[in-house]
Amino acid sequence: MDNNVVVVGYGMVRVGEYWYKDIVSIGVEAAESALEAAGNPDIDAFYVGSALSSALGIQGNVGLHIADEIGLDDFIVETISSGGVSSGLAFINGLHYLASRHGYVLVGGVEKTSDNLPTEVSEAVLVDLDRRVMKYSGLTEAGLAAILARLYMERYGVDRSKITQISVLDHENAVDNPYAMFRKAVTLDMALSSPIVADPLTIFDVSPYGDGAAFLVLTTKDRAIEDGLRYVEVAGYGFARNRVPINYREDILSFRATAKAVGDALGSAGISLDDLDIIELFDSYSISGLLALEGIGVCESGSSANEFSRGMFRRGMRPSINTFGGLKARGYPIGATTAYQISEAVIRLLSDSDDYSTALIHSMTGFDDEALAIILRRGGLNA
Amino acid sequence: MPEITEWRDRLWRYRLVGSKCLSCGARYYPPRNSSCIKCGGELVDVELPRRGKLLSYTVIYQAPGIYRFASPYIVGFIELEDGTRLFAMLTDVELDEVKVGMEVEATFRKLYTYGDSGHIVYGIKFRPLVT
Amino acid sequence: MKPVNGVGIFGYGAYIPRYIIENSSIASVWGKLSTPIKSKTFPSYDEDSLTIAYEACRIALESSGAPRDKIGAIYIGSESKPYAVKPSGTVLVDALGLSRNILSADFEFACKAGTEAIQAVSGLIASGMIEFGIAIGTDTSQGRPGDELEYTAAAGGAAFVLSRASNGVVAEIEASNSYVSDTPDFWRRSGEKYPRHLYRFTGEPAYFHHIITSVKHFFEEYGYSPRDFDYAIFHQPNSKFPQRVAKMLGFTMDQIRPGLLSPIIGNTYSGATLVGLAATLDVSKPGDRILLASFGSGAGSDAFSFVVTDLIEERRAKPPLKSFLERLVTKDYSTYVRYRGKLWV
Ligand SMILES: [Zn+2]
Repeated sequence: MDNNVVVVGYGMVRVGEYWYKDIVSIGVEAAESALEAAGNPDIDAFYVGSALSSALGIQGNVGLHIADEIGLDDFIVETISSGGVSSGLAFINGLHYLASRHGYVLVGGVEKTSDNLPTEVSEAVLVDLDRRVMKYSGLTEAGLAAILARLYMERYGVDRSKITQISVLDHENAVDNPYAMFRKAVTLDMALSSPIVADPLTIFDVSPYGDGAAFLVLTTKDRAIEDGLRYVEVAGYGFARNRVPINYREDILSFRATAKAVGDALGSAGISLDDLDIIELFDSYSISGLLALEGIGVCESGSSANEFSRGMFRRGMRPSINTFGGLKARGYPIGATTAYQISEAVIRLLSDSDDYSTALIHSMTGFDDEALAIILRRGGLNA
Repeated sequence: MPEITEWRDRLWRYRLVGSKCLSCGARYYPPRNSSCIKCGGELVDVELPRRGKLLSYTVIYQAPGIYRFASPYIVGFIELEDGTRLFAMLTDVELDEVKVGMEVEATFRKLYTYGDSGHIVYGIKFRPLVT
Repeated sequence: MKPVNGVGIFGYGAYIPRYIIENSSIASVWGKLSTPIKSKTFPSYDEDSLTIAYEACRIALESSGAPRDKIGAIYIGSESKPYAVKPSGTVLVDALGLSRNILSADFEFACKAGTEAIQAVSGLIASGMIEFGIAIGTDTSQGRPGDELEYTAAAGGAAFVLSRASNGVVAEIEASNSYVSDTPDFWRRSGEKYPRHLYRFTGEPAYFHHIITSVKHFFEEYGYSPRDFDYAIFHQPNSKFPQRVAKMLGFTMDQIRPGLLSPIIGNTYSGATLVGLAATLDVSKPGDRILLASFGSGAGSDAFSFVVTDLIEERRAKPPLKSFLERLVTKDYSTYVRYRGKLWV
C-alpha cells in the first residue's frame, strides 16, 4: 500500500446478552468509545461488518443507522455481510480507503444474536454457510466441526481429550479480560464432561454466539504523528478463499485459504512466522482453531492438539495464542468477531507492560471458506 | 418462500444428481452451475452411484428448528463409489451401530416440513447397506 | 376379468420400515390381556406412504431393468397419502426419473387400493394404450391410541411394474375379479385422523363374506380350484383371519405360508396382499400358480391368478423382502408414539 496505515483507537462492549439494548445502541456505544480513544477526529468513511442483522430481521443496513446516531454526516457508510470475516473486511476497506487518501476511517462490526432463538441463529448461520449442503443434510455449523474433529482424531490418532485443550487455554486467558463473555477458568475434565452439542464435541468445543460491537479508528501514519496519537502499525494483510461447499475440497482438514492468507500477510510485512509474538486465532470451534494453526504453519498437520496439551502457547510464550480468551471465552459475536481480535492485539501492542511487538490476526468465515490475515506491529510514540 | 427456492433443487436432491467434468472426470455434489474447478472443463449432470462408505459422522444434539423433531440424529461424511464426497443424514441406524468405514446406500426420505400442514421437503438420506 | 392381450409382472419390489413394536408393549400401556399379532412395523419419523412406495418402486425398476422412459402410468393405492390433495405420483415421477408423459393418480379403496391399481394398469396395457405401468400398494396406517386397530395398523408397501406379456414377464396375470357391496365395517371421514370400525362386524359380513364370494366367483368363472394353486395370499388384518379364510376356501397352511406376514409385520393395509405377493415371488419357481385375494373395507375383494415364468430367476427383487425382515429392530411404545407424531399437540 502507498500510505502506511495505523490504528489509533479501539472501542468494544463486553460480549454477552444485551436484553435492554438494541443492535444500534451497542454499535453506537463501541463506535463512540473508539472515536473518543482517537481524540474524536472527523470521520471520512465508516465500514461496518454484520453477518446476520438483516437475515435475523433485526435491522438491515445497520451501518447507516449507527452513523446517524453518532451524528456525523457526509461520509461513506457501508455495511458488509460476509460471515465471520465481516468486520475484518470492514477493516480491509478502511485500509483501501486510506491507501490513497489521508483522513480518519471508522471500521468494525456489530452483531446481535440474543434477540432470536438459538435455533433461528443456527439456521441463519447454516444458510450463510451453504444453504443446499447444510439444510438438506441436517448439518449445523457445530455438526460440521464435529465431523472434522472425528476425521482428525481418526487420521492422526489424536485422543479426544486433546482437542479441547485450546478451549481451556482460552478460558484461562479471559479471566482478566473485561470484554469477555466468560471470565472463568475451566478444567479439561469439566469441559469434556459438559453437554454434547454435536458428538464428539461438547459446549466447550463450541464458541458461544453473543451480542457484541467493536470498532477501530484508522488513519495514516503521518497523520497520527501530526496529531500526536499513539498508534499500532498495519504491517500487512492477506485474504484467500477455499472451495465451498467444503465437500468439494481435496482434503477437508487442509485449511489452505488460511495458509495462503497468512503467507501473503507475512510476505507483505516482510517477516516470517518466527517473528510472531501473538496469534489471535479464529477458533469458532476447538477443531477449527487447531486446523487453522496447522494451516498457518505453526504446527505440523495433526500435531497442534498435542502442542496445546503439552502447555504451549500460553501468555508470555512465543507465540502466545488468544491472549484475551479467543472466540471460546471472549465470545463469538459472528460478524463483529474480527474487530474484537484486532482490538485485542492492539491492546497488547500498545501496552507498556507486555513484551509483544508483532501480532497476527487470523479470521475466517465458516471452516476456511474465507480466510483473512492481518499483521500488526508495535508503533511509535509509545515511549 | 423457501418452498419455491427448494423446489428448484428437487431433481438433484431426489436423485443424487451431481456434475461431471467432461475433460477431467471430476465429480461435484451438489451440482455446479458453471465449469470445472480443477480444469475449467464443461460440466454435465450425472446420477451418482448410490453406494458409499462413511468417512466421518456426528450426532447432532442441538438441531436447527426444521430438524427439531429428529434430534438426536446422525449426519455422515460419505465417499461414494466414484469418489464423490458429500454430507447426508443417516437413517435406519441406531446410535451404537454407526462406525467409520461402514457401507451405506442412498434412500429417499422426508427431510422436513413447513409446519404440520405445510409442504413436505423430500430428499436423499443414507442408510446401512441392505443386500 | 381376463385381459385379451397378455399382461404380467415385469418386475416387483417390496419394502417395510426397520422398526417394529411388539403387541405386548402396546398392551402393557393400555392394560389389555390378549392381542391379535406378535408385532407390527411402523414408519420412522422420516417415512410416509410415498417414501415406502419409492423404495418398493426402485427395487422393482432396478431388479428388472424396466425402461423408465416407457412407464406410461403410475397408480398408487393408499389410505395414508401424505397429502389429501397433491398426488403422490407427482413426486415419485421426478424422484424415480420416470417419463413425465405419464398417467398418475392416487387410488383409495381401504386395504385393496393396491390391487385395484394393478387391475387399472393391466387394462391400460392390455388395451395397448401404454406399454409399461406401475401399480403400488403402500400405507403407513394409524390406529387411534388404545383402539383395537393400534395393535395391527402397520407400514409397508410393494410395487409392480406391469407390461405386455410379450416383453417377457416374471408372472403372467391369468385373470382377476372384483366384488363390491355397501358394508360399513370400517371408514374414515374427511378431516379425521383415525379410522373407525364396527368391531366384530368387520369379520363375518365384511372380510369373510367378500373374500369368499369373490374367490368362489373367480373359481366358477375361470374353472379353478384350490389345488390348482401352489401358493395363495389373502388379505391379512391379523394372524387369524387369513388362516381361517384359507381353510374355509380349502387351502392348506403350506400354500399360504410364504405370503403370510401379518404375525410379524402387522396389517400393512394397501400393502398387505402385495407385500405377501412379493414375498411369495421371492421363493416361487417357474410354473407356480399363485392366488391373491385382497379385501378393502367398505367393502370389496379382488381375486387374481398369476403364473410364474422362467424369468423369475433373473428378476427376483434385490434386496428380497427377507433382507428387510432380517434388519427389524424392536422399539418401545414411547419411541413409537414419538415417531408416529402422536406427541405433537
Ligand atoms: Zn475438470
